[in-house]
Amino acid sequence: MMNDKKPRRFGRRKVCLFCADNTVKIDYKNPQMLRSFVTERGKMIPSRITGTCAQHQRSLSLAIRRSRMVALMPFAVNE
Amino acid sequence: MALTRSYRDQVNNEREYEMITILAPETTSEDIKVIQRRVLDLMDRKEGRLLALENWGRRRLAYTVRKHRKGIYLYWRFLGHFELVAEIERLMRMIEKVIRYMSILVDANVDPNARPESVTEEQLNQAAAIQSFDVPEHEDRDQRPAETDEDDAGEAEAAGEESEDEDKE
Repeated sequence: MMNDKKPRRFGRRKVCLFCADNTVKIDYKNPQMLRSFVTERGKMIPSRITGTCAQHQRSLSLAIRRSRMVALMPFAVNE
Repeated sequence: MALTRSYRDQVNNEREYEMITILAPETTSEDIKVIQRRVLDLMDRKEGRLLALENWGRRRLAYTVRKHRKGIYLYWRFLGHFELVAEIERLMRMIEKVIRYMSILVDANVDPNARPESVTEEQLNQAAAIQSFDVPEHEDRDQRPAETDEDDAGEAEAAGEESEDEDKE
């Protein structure tokens, strides 16, 4: 049957934060800003959840990895 | 040394790098001055130029590095060639006070004249002064009291074992 699938619900389209506001720079030296893109455990949040565009997600992940290297951000947070 | 340079590097071009070094928390201002002098010597020899040097103070590390929970952050920005970076990284590996370093290429194509500023004596002295930011991020607040006593014990241990670590590398 054609109509077996559940109807998909579309919410508000998410906009990439860095495209919307170009004053926000992605910088590994600013862990405060990067913190909103990782979980409480310190894992990166996928762009499909945060709505970050591919280009910015790429530089974001690089920044987070650099930030981890110099111990500004944790690799993992254990309780 | 017969190192092949890329064409880009032959003309009046330099590369801009930044480097973060983390020093062991017990490092003194004198130690930092010594490190500064050794890096500046290297830069003189390799025709690099230090553009900025900042001390971010003694901060809490996000995880333990060589058994240290805190570290003194130094931030360097400089012009130079890759040979200089290799030399500086070699130097950083030799200095025991340096517990972590990371250098990053900011821009591969910089006209040295476009970066007129270089580090002044005053900035060097400022960078040698150590400030403590023991009360930084809000989320650490609940853990802090228990940690202060532990910290000293951990550091004393770490100091003893650090030399062994060096040998293994």
